[in-house]
Amino acid sequence: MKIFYLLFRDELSGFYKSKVMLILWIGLPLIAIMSFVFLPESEIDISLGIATSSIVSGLGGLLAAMMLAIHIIHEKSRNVYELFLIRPVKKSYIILAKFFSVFLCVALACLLAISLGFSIDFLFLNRFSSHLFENAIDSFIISLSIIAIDCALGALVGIIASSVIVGIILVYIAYNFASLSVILPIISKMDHPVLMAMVSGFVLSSLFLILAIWFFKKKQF
Amino acid sequence: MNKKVKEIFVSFQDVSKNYRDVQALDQISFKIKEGEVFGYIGPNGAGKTTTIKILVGLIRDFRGDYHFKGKMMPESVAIVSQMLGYLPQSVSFQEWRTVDQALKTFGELSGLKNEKIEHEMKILLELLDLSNVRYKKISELSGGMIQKVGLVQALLHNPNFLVLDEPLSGLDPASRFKVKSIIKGLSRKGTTIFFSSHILSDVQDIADRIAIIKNGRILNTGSVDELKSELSAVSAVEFQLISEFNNIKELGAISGIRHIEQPSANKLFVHINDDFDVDEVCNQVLKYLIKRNVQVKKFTPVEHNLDEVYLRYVKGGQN
Repeated sequence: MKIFYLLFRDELSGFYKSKVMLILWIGLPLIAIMSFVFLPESEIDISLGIATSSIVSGLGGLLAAMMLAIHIIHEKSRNVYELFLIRPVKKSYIILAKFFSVFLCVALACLLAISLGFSIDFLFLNRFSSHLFENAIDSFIISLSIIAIDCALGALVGIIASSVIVGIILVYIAYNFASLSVILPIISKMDHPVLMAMVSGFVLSSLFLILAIWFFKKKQF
Repeated sequence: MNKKVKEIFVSFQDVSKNYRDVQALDQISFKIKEGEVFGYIGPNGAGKTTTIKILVGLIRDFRGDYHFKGKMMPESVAIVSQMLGYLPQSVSFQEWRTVDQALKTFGELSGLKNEKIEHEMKILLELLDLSNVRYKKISELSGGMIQKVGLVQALLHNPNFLVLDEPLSGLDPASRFKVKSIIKGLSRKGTTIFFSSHILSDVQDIADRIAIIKNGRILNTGSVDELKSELSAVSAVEFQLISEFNNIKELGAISGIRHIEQPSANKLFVHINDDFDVDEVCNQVLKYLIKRNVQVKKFTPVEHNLDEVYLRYVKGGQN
């Protein structure tokens, strides 16, 4: 576990200050503020927090998946992993460290944006209700599920694809299908949509990660 | 009689590797003794990097026997990773890292404590003139500098076994000299070193023994002297003439002469086929020259150099 922690810490320090993360750190909260500034209050018939969460989880998830896939494809093609793999580093640790570091960064950026959306709801739009906090938690859980699926998908595509262009196309196609699995239970008004989103997020991200690790283990360096 | 018999460190016996239909290695065998510097030379695509990847445990599905310190590989790959320092042919780091971050990570992954990493890093960065780029991003470094950072990561944990894939490629002459002297120094301290190159002078300078590989097969193994002696001791005879000579075509017709070089009007290099007696051919040449009133000042045998040995094996001579 010490090795995994080392890799995770390293990846985290690389990702959190990357250009894409900079866009997410600033861009996602900005979306919440822009929605408040530019959309007339009368046209917003749902909470700004919920609206923000759906936008940022979609955008953040897609960017995270792209970023992860491109990083892995790039590093794979330059044989970056050789120096790790001659040391006592398991291939699964490399993938998991990347997944968790990107997931954590994007999740935090989303949390920031969603909190800002609900704060605006509360402070400026007078949409205070007893359900506000509950809605905020639900929105964050749904966002986390989408981001988890997207990050795992990015890792899988990164391992499979041999070029960045192919990677981007694959991420984009798979992203739309994967996000549907979380959003469908919500828009079709199924019972316990948040629970369904959590289950979908866990099952699909686990499945994608297992596949990514399996393909990575089969890959020869 | 007190001479210590060195232990076999690495043993390859009939190791083969295929990439689908392509036979990358075909039953290669060699042994490396503890503390030995083993040079591995061959043209591009000969199988050098595949051998190295098996050696360091990156390729694990191969046929044949590979023993590392008597332990069967790849089952005991963990032993190699503890003792190994490896510099790949085109070393690459994650570009967002600084030199400092990259080396610290690899030091920690090799099980070193922070104080030890700091100590070793300082010495090695200074030794390779990299102290001034310690906090620079990898993406800002030149190819030669990255190569040297690669060497630092390979040496950081004082490995017993160092595997270097074309360690001198991309380096300027001063850095090449420095890296060569580092390798020699490590060898004196008892580090076992395997290194590949296609630059013969590098191999000749550093290696105790050499293997020549071509098309996935080892053509010969031995010390530089042993390899030279595999060919006849004398490859050519230099004739210095007092008078000028300008009929090398006719002279070349003498049986046993491979070809003749004439760098100046009164100097000849007569290259002799290995399966002919040098003295006999020399005698014929002298007779020919005297008959045509060409005065010979002196004639000297020229021994094979490693270039000739290498070219002889690699450019289709022996298989």
